[in-house]
Amino acid sequence: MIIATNLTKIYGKTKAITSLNFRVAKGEIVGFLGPNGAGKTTTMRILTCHTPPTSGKASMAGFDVVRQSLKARRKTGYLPETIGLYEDMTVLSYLEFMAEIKNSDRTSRSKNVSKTMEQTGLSKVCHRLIRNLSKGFRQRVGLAQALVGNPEVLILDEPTVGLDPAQIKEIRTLISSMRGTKTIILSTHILPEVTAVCSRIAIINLGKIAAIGSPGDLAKQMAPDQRIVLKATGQKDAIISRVFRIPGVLHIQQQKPDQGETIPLYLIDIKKDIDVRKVISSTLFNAGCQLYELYPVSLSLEDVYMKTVMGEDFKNRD
Amino acid sequence: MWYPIYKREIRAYLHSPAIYALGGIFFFLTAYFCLGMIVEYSDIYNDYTMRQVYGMKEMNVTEWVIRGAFGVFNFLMLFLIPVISMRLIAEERKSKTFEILVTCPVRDGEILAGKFLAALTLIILLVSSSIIYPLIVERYSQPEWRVIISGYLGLFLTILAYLAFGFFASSITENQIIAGFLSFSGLLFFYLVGDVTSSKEGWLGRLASEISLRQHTLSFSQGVLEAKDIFYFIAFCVFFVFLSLESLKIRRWKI
Repeated sequence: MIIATNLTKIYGKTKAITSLNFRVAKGEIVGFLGPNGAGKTTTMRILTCHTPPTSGKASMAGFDVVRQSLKARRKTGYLPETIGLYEDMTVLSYLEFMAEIKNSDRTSRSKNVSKTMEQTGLSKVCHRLIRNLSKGFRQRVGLAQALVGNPEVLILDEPTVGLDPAQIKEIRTLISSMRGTKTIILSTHILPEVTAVCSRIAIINLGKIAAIGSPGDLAKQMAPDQRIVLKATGQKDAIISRVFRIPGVLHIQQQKPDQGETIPLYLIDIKKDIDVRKVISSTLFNAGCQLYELYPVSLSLEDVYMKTVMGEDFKNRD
Repeated sequence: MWYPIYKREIRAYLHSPAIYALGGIFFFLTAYFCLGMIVEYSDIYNDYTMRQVYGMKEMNVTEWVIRGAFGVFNFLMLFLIPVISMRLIAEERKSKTFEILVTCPVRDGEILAGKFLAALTLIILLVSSSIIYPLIVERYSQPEWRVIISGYLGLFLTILAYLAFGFFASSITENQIIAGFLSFSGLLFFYLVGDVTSSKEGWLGRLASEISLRQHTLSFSQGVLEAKDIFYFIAFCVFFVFLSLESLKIRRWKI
């Protein structure tokens, strides 16, 4: 549905993106994550035919964004990062204008506009001038103009920016509800948003895709080893020395327990693909220690993101 | 797909207080100059002594009022059109509405056509109010309608040319003030270049005279339709429309 092949964009001497390759399947929601200036917006602008690539190819719903730009644009709805709206129009007249310009069928146009306003919670403000709307409603109007005309592909650049928590939840639910029917790429800085909405994540850094996959896959890719959390009472040195002697254990260290928690907490790094939890529990039992909790932890999305974006600096910070 | 853009632009004009203010100023200035000319003509016409001072036995109302009025209309367009055209693309870029517009399934040419025709409609509406002055003259005298019709044709071609230039100026910047200034100063150059250098002999003087907007309006206000003048205005308009389209294309690559 969305295919990018060796996509490159150069502004003067600056390479905004370099040889980007990715595919988004029909009905899939993919999140773009990355620091400011990483190339997310440039990629989205190329995909929406706003800006042509310097080299490489991209296609939207089977249409090349350069050679079949008009057809590709017919299939695409775009919410830019900074949404520009015609302030002198009412919400209804603006969405009707957008539906008309997107060449939506005349007979179904008003039905389509009404449905979009309902989806985005704009029905009650449809006769208000856009200039009099709050930031949250303006953002909704931006999202509504992307949805109007029923495009197959949606490119959403930070769709929940400026919204309050309740509105964020509504918009996330709306986007999630389109899974399977629309192909969506969204960019955001809010990490829980991508985990909540997206089936896959592409981390873009310095104009390249640094990692792509589901949150679980990325955590596995990023984590060289496994990590286990151990909560147990007993002599600290005995616990550390006995656990460290277990084959497969690479490292153990005591951590500060959470606030209000009295049971000591240990983090144990173990070689990949080995389960030593059974051995640890029997070793501690034999040593007369009391075991409260023993469970594996994977890297959080924040850890994955920081590790991908900051690389060695993140490891050193650890 | 130009029509929805055209409709939106017309609606924006109708909702803009600035356009009403601009229209008011235009009506006031045309009334001031045209009625002034009519009154002056009438005074001189009725005063035999003054006619002797001016050395005229017979007075021609077309020469005295109609030609003067078209001179005024042409001159006012130098100010009116940059004010209207400066926002056409620059404002859209500044307010970021252009980003959405260019990602919609609409060609650059259709954007240009919708906006250009809407601005043209507005200007024609404003200018059409000026027909009242030939009608006033008609009430009391016998103006030459051949001159009036050719004058309006010349004015229409002038508007097309000025608007094309104004559109181009608006397409190369996102600052409306700069667009307006570029448009006004460029048009003023094309308006005056023939006068400044007309005294010079040689190819430079001839070139200046050939590219001068004002030189090409003179025949229209004399009731003469010359193919080379019509061709000049059409070529001027087509050239700057072409440049505007190229400018939109180039800025896509640059963004």
